[in-house]
Amino acid sequence: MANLVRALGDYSLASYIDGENGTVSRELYVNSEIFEQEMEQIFQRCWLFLGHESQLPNPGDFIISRMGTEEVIVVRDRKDHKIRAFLNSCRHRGMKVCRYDEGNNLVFTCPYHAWTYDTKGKLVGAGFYNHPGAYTDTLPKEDWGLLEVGQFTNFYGSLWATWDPKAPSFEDYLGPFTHSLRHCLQSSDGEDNGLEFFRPFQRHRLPTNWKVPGFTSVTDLTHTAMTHRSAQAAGLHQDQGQGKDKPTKPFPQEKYAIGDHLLGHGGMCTFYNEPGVPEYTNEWFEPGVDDYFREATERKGSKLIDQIMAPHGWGGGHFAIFPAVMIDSWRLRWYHPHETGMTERWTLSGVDKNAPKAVKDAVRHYSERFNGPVGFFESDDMENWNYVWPASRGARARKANYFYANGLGHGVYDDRLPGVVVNGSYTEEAQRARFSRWLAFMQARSWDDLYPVNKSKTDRIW
Amino acid sequence: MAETQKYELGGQGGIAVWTNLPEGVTLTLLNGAVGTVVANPHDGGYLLVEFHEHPDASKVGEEEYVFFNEVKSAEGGE
Repeated sequence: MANLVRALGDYSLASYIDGENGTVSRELYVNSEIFEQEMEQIFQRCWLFLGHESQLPNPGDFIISRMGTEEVIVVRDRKDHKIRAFLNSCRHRGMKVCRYDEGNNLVFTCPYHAWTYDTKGKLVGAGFYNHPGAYTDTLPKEDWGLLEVGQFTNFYGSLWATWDPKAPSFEDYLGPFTHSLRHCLQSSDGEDNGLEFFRPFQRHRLPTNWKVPGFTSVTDLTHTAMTHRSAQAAGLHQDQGQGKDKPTKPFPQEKYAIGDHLLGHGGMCTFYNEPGVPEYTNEWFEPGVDDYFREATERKGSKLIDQIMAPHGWGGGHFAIFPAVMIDSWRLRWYHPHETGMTERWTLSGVDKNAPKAVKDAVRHYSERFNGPVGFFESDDMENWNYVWPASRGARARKANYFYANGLGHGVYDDRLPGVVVNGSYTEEAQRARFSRWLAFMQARSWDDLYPVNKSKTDRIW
Repeated sequence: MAETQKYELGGQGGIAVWTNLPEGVTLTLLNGAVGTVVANPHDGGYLLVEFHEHPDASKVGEEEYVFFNEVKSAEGGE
């Protein structure tokens, strides 16, 4: 698969990225052969986000998620209650064995030839299996279960999988961002695995390449002033403490754009310099919500009285896990490639699972105002992402390069996140780091070339 | 004494009857096995059955998904 791109001519993959001048060829976004190579070498290997355990509370519960262009069934087994993930493709002829987005099942029965699988993925029946003139001794059921992911993990309630059994552990894959992700999955009072996510979650289909939102929508601080100007005018953020109660005692913190050029993760980052938590200052429209969050913040502060919080992004997250997961403010968003120019963006919005109903309702309403079909912010973003594609793929347009040099050469390493490059908050350090890792994946023959990362032979190409 | 309910599995109507058979119904299979429906996935194809009698004695007491065309009759339950 690594040779696909060579058919284009004398380009090598590395030549698409000009690290010296900080540019990226548009071919990376519009070329269908590169897209197919990404599916093989990135989405077959990386740890990918599947969903959250709160979507599957009961035995037999399932959701359909995606890994790259492919659907997977994520299901909680009826007997051992473990969650597993399987390719949604019958082993017999490849038909989808599940065509619902979510539900509760005893078995997944293929409507084609009635091969049927239990919630462990085991083949438990096939039409005419016991007929004397049919399969007789030629179908060993134990060998023909649904294809299970190579590795699966439940990380503080969030569900992740990779097709590659040789991939490093999820914690090794996250590297210095392990603590940041754990932090984002805590409730407001600092309890691990403290969130639940609203159902159904939001989906938007975008006629654009997956890297347009996936590689640029985190740490893209320069877009906010113009893209979201109308939403700011509407005062949507008023309930999130923008411009009202300022902290009486500013909490010592530093905000940067950061990028891990060895692992590909990065985004906006806040480094905290003292133990504890910042004072609660938000203001919600709904009565009682501020009281809940203020008390939760105080409880969290007492837990962290002698600990410095793990670095994480603004608003609780705002960083990306390579290749295409973005985490911010109780939201997990991930980008599913469908075709070179078609992407689905899924958004899980979370809330403290132990919060009272009034708080959960307020957070859900906020999420809908922000992300929903009639929300403000996301439609702003999608307008940009959607028009990037047709304006970049034409015969002339695709010969041009994108500019990724914002802050190039000004990043520095910071011991608080070893191996991660820290740069000004309005720079494109995180995007450059994602392209560094993108190139490493696209050139690597296996995980042996990708991990452990060789820090002496840095993958920094910028 | 109440009459044992028998379910008509043949004909067009039989498909809906099979799809909605409740737990507790006793099935007799074409191979002579007898078992009780313990779960119905409502997929129109299968029922999960616990066997009381089976030509393969090792399957007595075991649960297995039974396809509709392996079944001779259904009765009882409820």
